[in-house]
Amino acid sequence: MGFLWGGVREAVRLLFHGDAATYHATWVSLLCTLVSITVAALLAVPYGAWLGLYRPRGWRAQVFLLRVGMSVPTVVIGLLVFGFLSRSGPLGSLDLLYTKGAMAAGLVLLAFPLLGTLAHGAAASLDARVVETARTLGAGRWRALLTSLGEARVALAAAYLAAFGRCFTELGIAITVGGNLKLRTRTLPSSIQLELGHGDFAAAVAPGILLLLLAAVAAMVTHRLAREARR
Amino acid sequence: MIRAKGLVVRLDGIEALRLDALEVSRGERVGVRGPNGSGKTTLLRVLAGLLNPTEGTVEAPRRTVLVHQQPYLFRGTARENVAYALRLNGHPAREAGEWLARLAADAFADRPASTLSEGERRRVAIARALATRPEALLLDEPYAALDAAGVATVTAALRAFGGTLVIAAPDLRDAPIQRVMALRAATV
Amino acid sequence: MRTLLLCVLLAACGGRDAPRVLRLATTTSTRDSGLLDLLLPPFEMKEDIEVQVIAVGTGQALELGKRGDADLVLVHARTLEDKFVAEGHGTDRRDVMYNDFVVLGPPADPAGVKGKGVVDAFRTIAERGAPFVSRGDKSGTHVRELQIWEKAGGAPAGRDFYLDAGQGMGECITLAAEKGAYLLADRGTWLAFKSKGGLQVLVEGDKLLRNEYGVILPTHEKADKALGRRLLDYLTSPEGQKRIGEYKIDGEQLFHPTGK
Repeated sequence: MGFLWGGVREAVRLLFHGDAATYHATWVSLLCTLVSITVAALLAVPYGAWLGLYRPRGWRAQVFLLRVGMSVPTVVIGLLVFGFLSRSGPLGSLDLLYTKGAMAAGLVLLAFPLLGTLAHGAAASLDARVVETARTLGAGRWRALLTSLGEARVALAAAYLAAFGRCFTELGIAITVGGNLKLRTRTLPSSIQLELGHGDFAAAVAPGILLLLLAAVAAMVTHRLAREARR
Repeated sequence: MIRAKGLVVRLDGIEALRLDALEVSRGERVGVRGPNGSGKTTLLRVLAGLLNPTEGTVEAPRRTVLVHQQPYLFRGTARENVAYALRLNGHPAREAGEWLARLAADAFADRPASTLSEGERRRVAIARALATRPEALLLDEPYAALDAAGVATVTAALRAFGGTLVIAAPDLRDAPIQRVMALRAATV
Repeated sequence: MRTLLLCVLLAACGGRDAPRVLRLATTTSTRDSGLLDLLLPPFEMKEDIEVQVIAVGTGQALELGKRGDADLVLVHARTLEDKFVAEGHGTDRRDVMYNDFVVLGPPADPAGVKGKGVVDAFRTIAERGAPFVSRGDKSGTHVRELQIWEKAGGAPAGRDFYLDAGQGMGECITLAAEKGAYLLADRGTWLAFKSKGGLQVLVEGDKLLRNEYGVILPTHEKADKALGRRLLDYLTSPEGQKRIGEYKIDGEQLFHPTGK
């Protein structure tokens, strides 16, 4: 347990003396996560909500696939993306392997089923009168969907936070697709793994603390937004 | 012009509505009366295009608006609810205040909709529906939970409405209608 | 502080407009020894090439070379390297350096292997059923471990005392320390390891523990052979070889240059 306390001291030292590697890892984690969950949300939330509100043909199968997708381990996604982006792979000429772009792509695949499932749940649990009211007042199906999403704001904020947590803390995609390159694609979780590999448990705690802090900040922001939305 | 023929609506295997024929001319004002469970709400939903009948045909103008028995107001203030309806139909959002005033709802125009009483909510919902300038307006039990002043306000606003009007209620005394249609309980 | 932020921002945006990029696939133990942090920067500055070090297991490093995802491969598993070249995935395999493996174990040494030859030590461990951690990941270390087991009477796969970890060197060291087990480790990772408590070097110096490093140029069409060759030449140049010999941890030389 001693290393935990030593780790906290080391963490404070690293954070306040501006260790470039730690800051950069934070930046990489945040950038990749925020970009990917936003892209995934723009695609998955309307899709999931459409399935929940309008129940088009085959909606049950699609919801099932989304739910299955939610359980895919990150290493499997990492492997899949690697296969595509490798220079030997179909998209090799894009030269995207071991870049933040590739990591973000993997994270989109991770976040999409999660956001889609939660959006579907939020839409399906909405009062049936919501979409009926919008439609009767003259809204087309798409507009009515957007209005319904607005009414389900609280549930969607929670979904967004869940996606953030899942992407921010994952390891499999960062390592397989990102390559854990110093000052390029190293994230906070992969920094921890690196330091563990060196037996430097104290140095591993610093990124761990940062991870916790940022996760708490994300939760606070969501809490704030949800509270305002409830009015 | 609203027309329906041979309507049968089955929900979850239970017959909710059975109606041979219905015809409402343009600008006509009709009341629909019947006990609970006779299918008044179902009929209105079918006429508004929100529910497809199991059998039969329906014809109704494109801009037919239904005000639910317990209307749903969106997050935000009463004014924002009406503004939403206005913008949706290409009218200026600043008209919201006027429409609320017609239903004596401008006093609480900027209160969050979630804080309003049932009667206040109903008046906001009717204002919201009228703001879209519908060709036909369908109201499901519009007088429930209204006091005398509320009833008078709603009646006045409905009287001033120039389009086709269909009101469903167990008690149609105050409604500004020209004729009444009765629905029998749709039990087998 | 502002320069730091600027560097971070530039590093973040960096990619296409930056200096030419060379991908070196090597093993985690090579990276963890810290040698590359000393060896590569002079090369990068002189040639204006950025070397991206992808540190994975030996098998994976060779696989990256095969797929053209790496422009040069540096590993330490001679049999696998030869196979790689024989199958046509690489050319121009050259010796670079060697370091050595050691057998780590609990200071109390319950199996009593201290000072023995490595084959003897392994045999004793198997006979006594003392816990032993294996890399289990087809890494250079793992390959050597299996070679030693073969000489000692057969790999103890599946037996109770044999812990097939399937993880990197550092993780296995931690595992061995926690379980009071024996372990074959490369000296570089061990010296650079920060938490040495619970383990000690018990067997070293045996001829079989010599760990030879080789560098190979992948033949895949997508591999940048011009850049790869530059690094290969540097590693085997007198200058590069001198630097390799000069690298020390706690005053101890780690790698011995063998390139010509």
